[in-house]
Amino acid sequence: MDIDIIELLPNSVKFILEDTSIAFANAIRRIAIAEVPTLVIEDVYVLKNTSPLFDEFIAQRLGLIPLKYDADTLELNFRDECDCNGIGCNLCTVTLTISKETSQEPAIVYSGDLISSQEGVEPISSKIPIVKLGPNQALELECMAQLGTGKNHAKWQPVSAMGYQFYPVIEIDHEKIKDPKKVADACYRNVFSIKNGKLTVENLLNCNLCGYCTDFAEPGAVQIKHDSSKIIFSFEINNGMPPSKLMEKAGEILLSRIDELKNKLEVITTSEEE
Amino acid sequence: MIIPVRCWTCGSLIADKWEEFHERVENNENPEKVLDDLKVNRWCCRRMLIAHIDLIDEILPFS
Repeated sequence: MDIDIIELLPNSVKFILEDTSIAFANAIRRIAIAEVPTLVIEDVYVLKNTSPLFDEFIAQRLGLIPLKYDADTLELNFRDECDCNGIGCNLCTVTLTISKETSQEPAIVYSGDLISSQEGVEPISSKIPIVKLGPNQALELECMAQLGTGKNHAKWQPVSAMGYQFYPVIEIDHEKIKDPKKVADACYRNVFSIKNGKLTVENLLNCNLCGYCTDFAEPGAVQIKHDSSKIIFSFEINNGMPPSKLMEKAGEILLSRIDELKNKLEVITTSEEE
Repeated sequence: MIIPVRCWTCGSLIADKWEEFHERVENNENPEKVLDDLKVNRWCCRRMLIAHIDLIDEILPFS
């Protein structure tokens, strides 16, 4: 299997997976969305809230704020697997507090006002508005962040817009095409260009296999096919983890699942032999 | 009310871009350009910012 990176930004990536199958790409996708653990606020204790929004409203907004968390430097347990039996301790919970008060001027409470108890854990951006306070209003909260996975709630999902498509293969029969410009203009993703009066493929990777251009060409003149062993994969990261790290984690989880299955099958086959 | 923290459809963070977007559009900049600058690429996220009306100031007195 080969990986050919098309675009790599700090929080998003697009690459081609070669010599693979759609089943494998989907396994990686599903694990990355639902099984890679992230840290997010789960419980909120409201000590004082005279802001215009309800307690539940603020708690919901806090829960959606992605928190920076590096699994290598800070080892946290899932709360239900922790030694504290789900009560919440330093090994499974990070506490964040907010306390803000206004006098005469209204003020916005930002995610940057969250003070973390653990070094290295902080909101991904300090500019997320949580609530606006009017004159003489106050907000005092204690938030408990814990590890979780996307299958329990979408707020724990480390990625957004994770998806894949087959690699496009465009076949053009130049003799059949009467009006190449019409075909080139039909494509709304600018895949084609015209060179020396001939229709040529300019940006192959822009093609999303919609086949709209074939409606504007003579039958069989332009054929949109795909190579099912090559997959274009793309996603965006929500919580500041590098994209390569996420793929690594998803791979680790997939391997551990396969090992688990293998071990269980071995137990069954040995017990049958006995 | 107040800008949603994440895009409803894809779940990527948009709330931190609201203030810059709002300020620049108020100064008669083209919203399309501002969204491109802020790297809000998908139209699910773009509509979150374009269609949002901030009503929090209206309810501010009712604590």
